[in-house]
Amino acid sequence: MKSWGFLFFKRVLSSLPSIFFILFLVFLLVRLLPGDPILALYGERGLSEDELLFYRKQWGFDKPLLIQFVIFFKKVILYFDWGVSTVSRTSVLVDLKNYLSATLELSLLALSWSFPLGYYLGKLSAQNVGTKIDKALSQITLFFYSIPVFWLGAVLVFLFAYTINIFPVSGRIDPFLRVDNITGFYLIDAFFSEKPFQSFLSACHHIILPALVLGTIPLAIIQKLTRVSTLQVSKDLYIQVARSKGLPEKKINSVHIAKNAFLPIFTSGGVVVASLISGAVLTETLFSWPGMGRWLVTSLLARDYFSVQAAVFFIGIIVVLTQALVDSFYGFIDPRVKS
Amino acid sequence: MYKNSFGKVNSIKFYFFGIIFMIGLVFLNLGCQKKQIASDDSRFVYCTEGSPSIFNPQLATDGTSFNASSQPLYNRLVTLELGTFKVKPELAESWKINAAGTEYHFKLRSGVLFHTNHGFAPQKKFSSQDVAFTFNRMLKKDHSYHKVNGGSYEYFKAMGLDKLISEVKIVSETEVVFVLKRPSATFLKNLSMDFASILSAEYAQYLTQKNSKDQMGFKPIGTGPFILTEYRKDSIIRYASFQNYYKGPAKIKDLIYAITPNSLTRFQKMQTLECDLIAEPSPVHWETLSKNPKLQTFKQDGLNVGYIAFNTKLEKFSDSRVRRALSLAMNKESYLNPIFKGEAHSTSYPVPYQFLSLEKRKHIYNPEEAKRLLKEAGQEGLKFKLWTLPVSRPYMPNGKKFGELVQQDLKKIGVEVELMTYDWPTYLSKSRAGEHEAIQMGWTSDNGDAENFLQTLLSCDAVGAGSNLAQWCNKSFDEFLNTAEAKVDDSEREALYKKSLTVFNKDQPWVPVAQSKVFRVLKKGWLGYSLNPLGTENFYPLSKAAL
Repeated sequence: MKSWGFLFFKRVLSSLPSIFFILFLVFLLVRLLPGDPILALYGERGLSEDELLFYRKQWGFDKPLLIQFVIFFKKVILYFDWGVSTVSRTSVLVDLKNYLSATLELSLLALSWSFPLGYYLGKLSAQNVGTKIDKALSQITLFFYSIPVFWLGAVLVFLFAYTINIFPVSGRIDPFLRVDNITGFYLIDAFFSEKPFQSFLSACHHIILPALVLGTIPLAIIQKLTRVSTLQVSKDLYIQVARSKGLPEKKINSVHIAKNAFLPIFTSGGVVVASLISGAVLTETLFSWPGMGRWLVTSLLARDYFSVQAAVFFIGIIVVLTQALVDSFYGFIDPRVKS
Repeated sequence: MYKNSFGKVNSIKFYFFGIIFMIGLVFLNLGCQKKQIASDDSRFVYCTEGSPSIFNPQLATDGTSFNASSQPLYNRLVTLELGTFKVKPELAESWKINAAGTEYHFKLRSGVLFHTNHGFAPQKKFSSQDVAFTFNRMLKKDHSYHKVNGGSYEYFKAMGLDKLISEVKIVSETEVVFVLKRPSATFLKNLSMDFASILSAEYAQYLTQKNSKDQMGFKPIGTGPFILTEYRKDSIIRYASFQNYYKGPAKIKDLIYAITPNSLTRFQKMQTLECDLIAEPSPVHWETLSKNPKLQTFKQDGLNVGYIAFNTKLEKFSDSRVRRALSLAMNKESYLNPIFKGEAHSTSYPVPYQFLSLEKRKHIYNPEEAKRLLKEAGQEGLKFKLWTLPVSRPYMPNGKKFGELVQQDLKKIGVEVELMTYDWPTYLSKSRAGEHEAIQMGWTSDNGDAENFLQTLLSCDAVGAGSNLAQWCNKSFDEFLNTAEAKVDDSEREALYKKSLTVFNKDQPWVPVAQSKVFRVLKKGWLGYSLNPLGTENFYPLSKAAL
């Protein structure tokens, strides 16, 4: 049997062409958009033709697109240099590190509640298929799935932060608490700060609302997936066999159904991650959360080419890697496909 | 069939899980609730709208960067008095101007210290060396720092200083002379602007030795009232009071900029008192904020003008009668309530009334005359596209709505207006290329001088730059501006600018629409705040009232 590492590597390797394609497409699309990163910087003031040309030359935007792409690609491959933001003139890679950790922290926390709850509710629905509980749960998850994230977020902020004021409106931590940037996860970095306990609580307090909002769509997806796959599996013949040979219902549920029903949920990891990221764009904008989603939006609005490229590319990579991870793990979870 | 095979609802488990979940939430909620940090007199949170692009104001172009750099961290040679826009000494104690108006001799303040920060401990005090370094860096293309951090001295160039200053001469430690190529009336005012903040020559030398010149823009050293202690992009900027500030340390010990781009979020954070001051509150929220008993409000006429520019290069707008007709047909007064919540006044001038001591007069609304003019020009049944501003600005908070109101008004004189827009970068580059027919735009003063409006927005030089959106080049208008520029006497200048305004009003390349108010809210208890209509925030004078 081949090792897990090998499988993973093979998966990643096979997705290299699509990764390259993402990179090329983003590069091209963002440059084909009307608007200019330099003019966007100067706003109402405008810029004379000479100066515009000067800056375009300085940034290398005066060369033909294909040559620009080759230069960019060469830098990425040889030095892993993703360029410099046209707005802040800081390295895109440094920005990426900060934004990525903020998004990961939020997404992981969102998953940590939505995944178990979604899974549990899905099972509950399947076990009570057709009853009031099932119908009620279906309605609730449909509600969460179809509700726009920004609306739900705005309502929650209005209720809990603005009106009752038990949560802060935005931010990651109380501005008076200073947390150094070690891992980029405030919940962890808090323990290395001057006031670890207070900082940790404050970071918790700030993350609850956005994590709640961000988790709603994955919750609905996972609930529906679990329900469907549990029902599917319970129709299988071996379940009937198990039941007819007199196995206790509990054991059938937990061993035979649950294990098999988990497979399609597991394989849809990529979909869940993608839904988290698209939700993050809105959630982060709403809560002033300095993450990938907000970075992408602001960079796009400023035509900050290098930042947009890096943001889209790494979001793409995250989805691809998750899928590769899932695929390579599949053999271990489902021994039937091992060969 | 399967339903039955699964048996009864596992109600206990469901209940159990639900309870755990609820308890968890409540626990987190209660446990994490911010323990109200005892209100401290020396802490101040300013909720700003964005990240600064750089901490060196020479290289910045946006108010956000200036508020984060030039105001807390640096000083200028001179500063403007609030309200009157008269030049006042700051790092320069006094100055003399020669008779020809081409030499400015500054006597510098002595004993001013630079920050000790980022591992740098200054050995020298502020001197003429620093002034020379600051300006030579921008002026001389071969200066060792000219190209550092991108090297685009946009404001310096926009104010024409690169073509004006011939050299900066060091006379002694505390004396420096600026030699100009020709007299310039606005030179002193320009030196009060953010980009003219004084940097440390010694720090530059130190960074050169360390081979990390780039740090100049990101690890700033200045003479200002605050020291930068932490910056996290898109999240927070932290400053501490500079104990050796030349005017004495600030009362605020910890100054925090919480970066909050969304204006609704800023409003909510102000209402819940998470901020002490917020940047640019949206006019939609002014009324609610004014009614909050825990806040104090500041309001004043701003130094801005919102306008509609006609592309005068186009056949349909080439006749000034058409442009005048369109101006007469717009009932500007009726726009103030829906667009600005009444917090603005209509204007017919391309400059704020404060600059040239102009009267705040009401606009003449005369659709009959407009119809007559259109007929005379043979442009009855005119159709055109109006681009509506895609971003919210103090001079134009809601471009689309404003466009709709104009559309209705012009329909009454038989002119059909089609509204359209692009996102901001596209809007800018397409209008620069002259693709628009009529466009909404506006301007906020940089330096409290009329020249800044007239030259930037209406001169022939500005046509290609994308700031003269009417693409209007009038020789006699330009003549007035150029003559005025060379006059040092303010009253002579004022008279010339007023003459240029008559040319503008006759030719009407734009319809100036409104001049809006600026508004700030501050948490109650803070004293010493003054609203600067130029948009910069100075936190040095602030202190808590003794309770």
